[in-house]
Amino acid sequence: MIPLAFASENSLVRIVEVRAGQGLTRKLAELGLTQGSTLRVVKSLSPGPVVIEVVNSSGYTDAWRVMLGFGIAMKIFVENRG
Amino acid sequence: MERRALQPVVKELRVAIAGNPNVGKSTLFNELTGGRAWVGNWPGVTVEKKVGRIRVDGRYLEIVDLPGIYGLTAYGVDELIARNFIVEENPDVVVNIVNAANLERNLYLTVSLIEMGANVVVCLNMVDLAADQGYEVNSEKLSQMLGVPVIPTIAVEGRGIEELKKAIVEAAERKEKPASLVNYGSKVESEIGRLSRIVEKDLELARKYNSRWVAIKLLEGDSDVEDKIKLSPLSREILSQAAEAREKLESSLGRDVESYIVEKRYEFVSQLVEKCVGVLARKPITLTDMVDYVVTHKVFGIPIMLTALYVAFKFAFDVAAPLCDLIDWFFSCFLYDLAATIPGLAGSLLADGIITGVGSILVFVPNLAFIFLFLALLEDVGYMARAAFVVDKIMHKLHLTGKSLLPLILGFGCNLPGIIATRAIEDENDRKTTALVCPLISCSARLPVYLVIAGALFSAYVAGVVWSMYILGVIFALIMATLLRKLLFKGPSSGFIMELPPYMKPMLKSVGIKTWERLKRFLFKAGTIIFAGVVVVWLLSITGPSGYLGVEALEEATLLEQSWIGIIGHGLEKIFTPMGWGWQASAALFFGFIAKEIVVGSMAVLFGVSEEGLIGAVSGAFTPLTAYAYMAFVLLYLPCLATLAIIRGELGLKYALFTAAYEFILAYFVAFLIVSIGTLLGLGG
Repeated sequence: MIPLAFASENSLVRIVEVRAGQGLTRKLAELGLTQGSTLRVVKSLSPGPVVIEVVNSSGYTDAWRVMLGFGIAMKIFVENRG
Repeated sequence: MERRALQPVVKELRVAIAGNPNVGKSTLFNELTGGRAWVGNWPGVTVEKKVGRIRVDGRYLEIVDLPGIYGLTAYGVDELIARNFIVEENPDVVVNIVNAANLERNLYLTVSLIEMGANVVVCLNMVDLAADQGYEVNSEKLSQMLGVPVIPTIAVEGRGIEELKKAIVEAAERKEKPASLVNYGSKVESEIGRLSRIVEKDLELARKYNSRWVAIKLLEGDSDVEDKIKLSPLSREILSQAAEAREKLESSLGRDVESYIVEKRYEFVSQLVEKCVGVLARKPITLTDMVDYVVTHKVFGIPIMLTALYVAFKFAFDVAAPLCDLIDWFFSCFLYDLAATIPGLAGSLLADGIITGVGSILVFVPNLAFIFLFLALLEDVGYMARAAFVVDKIMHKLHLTGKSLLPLILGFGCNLPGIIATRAIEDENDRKTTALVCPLISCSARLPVYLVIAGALFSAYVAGVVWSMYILGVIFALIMATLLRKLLFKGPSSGFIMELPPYMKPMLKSVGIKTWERLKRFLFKAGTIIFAGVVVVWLLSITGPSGYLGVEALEEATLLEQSWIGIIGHGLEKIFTPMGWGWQASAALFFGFIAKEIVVGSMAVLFGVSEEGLIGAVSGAFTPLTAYAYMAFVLLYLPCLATLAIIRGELGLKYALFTAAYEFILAYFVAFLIVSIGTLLGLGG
């Protein structure tokens, strides 16, 4: 388990835990970033801010990309999925 | 409500536009209203509110543009505004604009809106872009599954707008609202049913809100909805039942209810997308990907950003230079000479006060216009979002985020729009810190001061010396930011979440509007505060303790020495004794408080020379060391009057005074240090 800020570029990761306050956790959940969701790390200044895409269970990837600042990327813990 | 009852003939329909950021909301708003809008702020916050009025089929529509949002959690100010507007103001129709190319993300909001009980019309925008990316959306199917009208549009080309207007008017007539969309599973549904029946017992609550929505929000533990419930006479019962239900569900689901509900909603959205979106082709590698590979590169990202900004600034200054000269000539020759022909006091006020003072500010307008234009272009194309990403890592170390970048860069043009741009920073502490250090960034008004003084004393090294001032400004801004964030605005940053939009062709209109909005603030201040300031300075120059000195004081240094300004100058000289600045240079600093570029003009007056003769006078009055300290002091010492006024307006008087105080102390300290260290090193001579 590593913070998202350390994930390498182009890797697929799954969120294991979000260690943040209620407000931020909820906001991230609404963006589809919650425990169990799979992300593709499009860009990473590892360790640093990341750009991610959310991969849905159907394998359909949104064309939507979001960047998370270093601070937030340190609060999301992920495990590598290849 | 009463107002409508009194005017039964023309019932105005109230329409709100809601949608995620970057889906073409402003474009849609402009297309619907024809660009005529009333712009104000939402009550109590500095978030912009736009309202427009149109007529469709004999009906009047009032259209309100809500802030861009992803959900309705009431996490940020934007979400709270949008949600409260829909819940409390209960608009007749909510137009939910969604980006056809990012359907899954966008439909989450749609489902939340419908769940809330809003009368939704979906505007399926950018269908062309979706097709380009290989997706095709079946809008009829989507409409059927959501139970609301879905109108495909291409807002930038104005396509589908007439159909949308018609759908809005039709929807307003619609009586029945779509049934509940998302099924949360039997356990949760039974609790929702039970809670909503309790909520309905309070008729006032039932009239105002959708009881199912209230029940769901209570299960999610939404504190804002809980606050609304607290006003009800039944609040005790409702809240205790909700807490009980939450506890019960938590143990039977084995996890927290909130994330379970969000997940169920997402599941529903996933099904929608699966059934309504056809994938035509694999997503190709886009131009955006290729450009992003380079500009957000780990190593090259920052050099590329610096180069892009340097080129933008350089180009802006070069293009603007002849225009600046023209304006300068217009004010300092044409208008000045014209006003000087008016005899007596009025002529002097006009020529020496207003035209010289305001003119010296307006000279910068072309510079600023071009800087703002280039920055607006970079923003609109989508580059500034990448730049924010690239600097986030450094900013994080300074306890800020990438969002602080744009305000600070705008600050190089003029500190005013920079401070206003801090509104986009959600985190209150980050925002205040950025706004308070922005005045340390060397704005274009300080450049003429550097040029004259460096020109007089560092003839061979002018460029290097001037450059060092800019660097000094950035360094002190970053140091102060870290200090403020650590000592005054403590606590972790709520961080930085920002959508990375694909690169877009810049829209002339939106670039124009952004540029003008920023320039307008500057012009407004030049016309009000600076105008008033120069009149005061002029008055203080022609009067003194002995009474009226006459307008000749402005031409004669010996007479000027007896004016209030002379007294102030001599007073300041004592404060600045360690730095060895004469009374003229000290008094000029006082003028510089009105606007920093006035330092040059007032030195000319105080030394009793023309601006051309100034170089000679300055080189006699300073040594290279004291001159360098003086330049650093001008960079740091006080935000100009207009900047202070903006800080007061944005953050309050307390922060304006604080900024003035800390900057003065910092500047004095730095100037003192430069002179002391320089003297120790034997550079004093």
